[in-house]
Amino acid sequence: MLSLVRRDPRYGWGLMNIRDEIDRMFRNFYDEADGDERSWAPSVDIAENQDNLTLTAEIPGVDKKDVKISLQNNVLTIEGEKKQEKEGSKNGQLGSERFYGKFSRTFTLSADIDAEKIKADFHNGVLTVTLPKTEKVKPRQIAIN
Amino acid sequence: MFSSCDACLAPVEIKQTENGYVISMELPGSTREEIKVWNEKNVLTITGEKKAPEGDRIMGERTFGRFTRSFRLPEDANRDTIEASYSNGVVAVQIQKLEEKKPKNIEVQ
Repeated sequence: MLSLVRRDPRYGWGLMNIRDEIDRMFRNFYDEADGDERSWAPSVDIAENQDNLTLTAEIPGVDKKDVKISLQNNVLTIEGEKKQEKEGSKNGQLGSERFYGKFSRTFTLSADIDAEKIKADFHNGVLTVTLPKTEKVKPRQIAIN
Repeated sequence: MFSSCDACLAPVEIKQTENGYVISMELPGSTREEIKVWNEKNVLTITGEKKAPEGDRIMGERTFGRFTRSFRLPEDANRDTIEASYSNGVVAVQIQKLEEKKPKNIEVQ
């Protein structure tokens, strides 16, 4: 028996449209990421030298006043919000690889960090947090008697 | 997920406003001197380099390196008035629309 089956044009036309399908997938991915309520996570590096650990986070397009750093029970939290620029409505957007919304990253500090001396600086979209090591873990030279 | 790393190294957003277009690019940690914006014919190119800071990385999510990104300008772009700025780690290129290409109201005689 032959029956009419309604086909979903999104999946129904075989492999010929796989390219369109992939394009759509990426378009949707970007559209969804543009929602105001969604969150993203900034990229973070941690570098080490003799005296400090240095944490750098990329937070471009965010005002200093929209970034908050807190330390509680040895947990360092960086949070804030990247707001979309007002100029040009969402309808005027022709394409975007940028992400907007609230962000938060947390790091557990070891006991080797001197919490009292932590410093932070925000410049050109990069947040730099300097975490000084306590004296007891710094390398020291031992004199030969 | 990206075929080239330009999009993760220097992500871009393009917006259309009433009077023109704005191309914004995230370049945290660069300096004005490291960013070059070029216009040749109808192509706008942004080149630069994200330099890695010194020190031994024990955790690394940030990407560094040279990049070149080019954009074909629309026909109604005024190439004589392109302006670029860099603030809070974002490059913004402002492109005005040509006056004659803006929609005009024609009075019925």
